[in-house]
Amino acid sequence: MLFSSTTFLLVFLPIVLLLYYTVFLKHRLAQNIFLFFVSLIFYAWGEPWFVLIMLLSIVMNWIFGLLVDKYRDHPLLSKLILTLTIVYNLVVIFIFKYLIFTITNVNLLFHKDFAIPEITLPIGISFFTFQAISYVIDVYRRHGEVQKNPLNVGLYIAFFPQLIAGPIVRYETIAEQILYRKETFKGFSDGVIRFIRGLAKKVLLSNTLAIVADLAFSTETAELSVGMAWLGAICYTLQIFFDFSGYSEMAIGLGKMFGFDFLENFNFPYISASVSEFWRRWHISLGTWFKDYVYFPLGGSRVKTKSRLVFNLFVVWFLTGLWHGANWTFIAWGLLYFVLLTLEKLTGFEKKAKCKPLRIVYTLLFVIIGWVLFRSNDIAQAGDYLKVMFTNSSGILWDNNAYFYLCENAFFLLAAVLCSTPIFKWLSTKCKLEQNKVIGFLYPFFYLALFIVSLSYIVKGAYNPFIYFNF
Amino acid sequence: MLGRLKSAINRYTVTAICFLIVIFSYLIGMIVDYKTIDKSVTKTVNSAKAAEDSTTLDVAKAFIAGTDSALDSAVYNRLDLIAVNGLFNRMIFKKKIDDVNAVNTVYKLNNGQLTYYYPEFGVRVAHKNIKVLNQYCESVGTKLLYVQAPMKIDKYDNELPHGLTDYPNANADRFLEGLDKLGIDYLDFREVIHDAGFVYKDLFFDTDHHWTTETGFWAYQYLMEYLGENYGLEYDEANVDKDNFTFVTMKDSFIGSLANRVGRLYAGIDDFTYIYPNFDTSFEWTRYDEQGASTLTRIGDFTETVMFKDRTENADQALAYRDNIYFNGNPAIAKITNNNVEDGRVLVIQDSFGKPVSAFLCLNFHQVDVMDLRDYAEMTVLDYLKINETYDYVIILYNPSAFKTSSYYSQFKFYNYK
Repeated sequence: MLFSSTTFLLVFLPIVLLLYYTVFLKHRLAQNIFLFFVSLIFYAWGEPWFVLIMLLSIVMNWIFGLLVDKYRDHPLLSKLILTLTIVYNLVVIFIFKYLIFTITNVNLLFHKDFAIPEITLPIGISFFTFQAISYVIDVYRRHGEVQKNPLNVGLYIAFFPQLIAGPIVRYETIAEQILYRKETFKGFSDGVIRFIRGLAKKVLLSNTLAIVADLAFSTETAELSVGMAWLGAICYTLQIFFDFSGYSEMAIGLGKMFGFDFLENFNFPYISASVSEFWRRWHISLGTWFKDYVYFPLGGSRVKTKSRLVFNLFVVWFLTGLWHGANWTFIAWGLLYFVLLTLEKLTGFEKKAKCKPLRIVYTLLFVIIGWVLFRSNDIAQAGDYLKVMFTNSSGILWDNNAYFYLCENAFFLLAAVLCSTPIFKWLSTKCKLEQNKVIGFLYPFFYLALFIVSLSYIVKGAYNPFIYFNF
Repeated sequence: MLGRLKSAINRYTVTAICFLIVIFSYLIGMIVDYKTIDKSVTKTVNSAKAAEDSTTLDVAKAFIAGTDSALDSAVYNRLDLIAVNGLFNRMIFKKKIDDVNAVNTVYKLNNGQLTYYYPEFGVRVAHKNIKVLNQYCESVGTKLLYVQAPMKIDKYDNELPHGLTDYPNANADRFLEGLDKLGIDYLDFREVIHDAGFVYKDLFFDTDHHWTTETGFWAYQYLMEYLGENYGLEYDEANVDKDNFTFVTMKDSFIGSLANRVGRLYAGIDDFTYIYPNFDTSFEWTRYDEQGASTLTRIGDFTETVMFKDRTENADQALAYRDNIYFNGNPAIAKITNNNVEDGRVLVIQDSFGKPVSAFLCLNFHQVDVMDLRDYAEMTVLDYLKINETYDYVIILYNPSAFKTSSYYSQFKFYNYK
């Protein structure tokens, strides 16, 4: 089920809120069981039988969690269980996400003809698998209590706000909240505001700019003007940010409505003055997950040799690229960041480099190049697209399409650029808008208008893709 | 207590309360309309169950898809929300209102009118098909005429927002160039209109892609004159004399199909005029479905047969689909017999621009059959012509939107080609 659908907004959400705060009020276990079951309905709405895969994942990881907890005093056995947990989860994700890719490449590389199975990717498998791994590891590390009740593990893994597109909530973050959260109307109100903001980001900004990006990336590169290529790349840069951060904000908002506090997933990444900073601000939950469960166990940056540091970075960024999808474009995208981050680390770029505006331009330039790789269907298209952007290989500098789509989307582009900076936050503090009574009066009207306009786009049936559902 | 309440009421909590009021209001609206939703979902589920080899999973998926679709349609005051959407787009000066289905994307011309817009399109298949059709018509003595209806986009002053190229007219031009080469007669209303010096904008609804009923009536008059001059058709001139017809205009009463998509606050509202003859008429009108089965027969005068007067009800309200007043939409096939005229048989292969034209053509021939190839699927036109009685004329009337992927291959499929 999509957050930006009438089914969710006008039926699912009000019914779930109503029952949660009436029938199940003051019965934590009942509330959790209820949230778990509605989460299953939410997930099954996209593809009914995939819910079985998720249920299997919940049951298996619940068992792994119990075993790890039971045998934690036997180091060898507990490590074996932990290894089994990771192998099991990776095998599941490999079969559904990477098997076709692997067989295709083996066939190509070794001139074989292995049959390619027809496997559909379960929505959000990368997210719930990573959360499941997080649960067992955190129990093992004593970062959270083991859950005796499988429904509580189910709620952690399958809770509908973050189920299909994150943020990847680590178990230690909400282990306590599962049983001991406190719902308040203040928290609920914050949640509503975050949700509306996320919805507007997704529906008004991301979906609109997606049309321009899709047009640019579907145009033959021989017919693509430099202007349109840049416009398409910039629109995609903004689209993916507002798509994903919008979804994360909706998830955080919904979590708050039910008393959960998830960690922030984005912090204005496009104002970063280095690629390293960009990754501290972009998809924070994924970065932290890889840092805690891959980078640090490998030794992180506190290693004896530079070559070991480079190796650790390579593993993390290869996996980060691969996590996003079974395509060489994603791997190349991950490796691009490996190269950039390695260079920044080895040269001490963040400490030495001066002139912040120039550093922001450098960061944005590589981020945009990265998104071109990410968005392209294959490496060849990415190469051709980048050639148009940087060398005018099509011989067309500017065309009617670029003019039309630039004028047509001027409002959304401007709004998107402004919203990707902390300018409104800065203005609010600077002008003390929090205390301003007129602003206070207009505030609910503004958010209500934002919600109604977003709803109008949904009801009208506008273009509504979700990029991160595929991961 | 009051103090606590006062401190709890702030901009954030008020926003949350408003949000809850809105979503619960819509939920109540859905509950009130549950019968419609239930009916729609049941229909979808039943059709999934009826399908061969359907599994429980297929039925479950049909239930989900049916529920989503039914809930979308049942949103309380849906049109008001679309109007809000239109107002927002108007405020930010949007000239392109996107739709999930790209073909339904609406563009605002510089003159304020709304239109669809289509990309460049090859017309080879259309030439191939019309050539074969023409050969058959010539072999049986039927006259074939292609009528090029205009589009909202004026070939001579397209009024498109800067950056858009007038492909729809270019596609039509390429098709007509081919007809020249094939020696097939055509009447290009785009040129006729240009030569006549009309104000192009006035010929169309603002909120719909069609020409107005008055323009359709004028096209009918011109077509009759053309058939008289070029084909020696003899007809009663009283049937084309404007003075013998009643014109009724309903002010601010029509929301065209484009406005339906983008909202009345973006598009505005149109006047709607309907026209009917003042003289005695006697018709039998039968509509057939896509497989050629008869579905409705009406007997009576013009206003009781080809004209559906219920489209003129509630004249004080702005309603959609008033332009279906003739033929009640686009029938796959409709056959109209004029009891007051003894001779003349015409087959009109048409799109929706043909509705008002064919309605008045019926006044001059014993039989007029209209066919819409977007729906009709029983057999090809060529087979239909071979089976059915010989027609005096086959008229194909399309506007340039026929040259778009979604309908081209059905609208120009006149025989079984490979």
